[in-house]
Amino acid sequence: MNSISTLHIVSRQLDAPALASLRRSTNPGDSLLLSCDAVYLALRPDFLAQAGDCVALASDVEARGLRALWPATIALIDHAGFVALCVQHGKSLSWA
Amino acid sequence: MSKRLLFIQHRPPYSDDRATELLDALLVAAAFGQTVTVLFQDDGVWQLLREQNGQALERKTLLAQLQALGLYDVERLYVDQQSLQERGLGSLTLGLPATPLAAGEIAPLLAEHDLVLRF
Repeated sequence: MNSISTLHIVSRQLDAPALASLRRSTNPGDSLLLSCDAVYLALRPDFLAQAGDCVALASDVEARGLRALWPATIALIDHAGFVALCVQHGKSLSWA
Repeated sequence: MSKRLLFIQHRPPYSDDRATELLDALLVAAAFGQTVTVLFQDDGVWQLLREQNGQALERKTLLAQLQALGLYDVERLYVDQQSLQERGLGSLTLGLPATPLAAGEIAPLLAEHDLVLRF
């Protein structure tokens, strides 16, 4: 059976239990996109330790003044990149 | 008669309009001659990061608006030190001259005000 990868779209901050649910729900080959207030997650060591294949929306990072603090391991993408990710994965799941 | 009002900014700056609405409310209070103090606490400390650029989201930059507080005679700005530390921001240079308060200094700040607004 073919497995269909998922783009996990996180748009708010997640507490520890929600973060654990996200990890339980993530398969190898999935991607994680941080948008809106979810970009603050990138500054949390407990998140970074297991971030996996993770990117973030540049405009949300820029607006919040986070560029100077941003971890090198999480690439920034624009909205065109967002669309490309949606196309690349068979489905998306919103963690709103 | 002038009252002492404490406004607690506890929301992050760009998720919705609530941080801006609290700022609007405190500016109105200051314009009407009330004595206004602001405390940044919990996710409100994200409002203090330098180099914010609301234009990236087609919004106004909240920090730029906060930097105008002095024009309204709002001079007493505080930040909850623990809220900064919880977010790894403890040693950061902030975009506003807010005085850090230790854990034991928060309750006394509330006690010295006639009214506390946090929404």
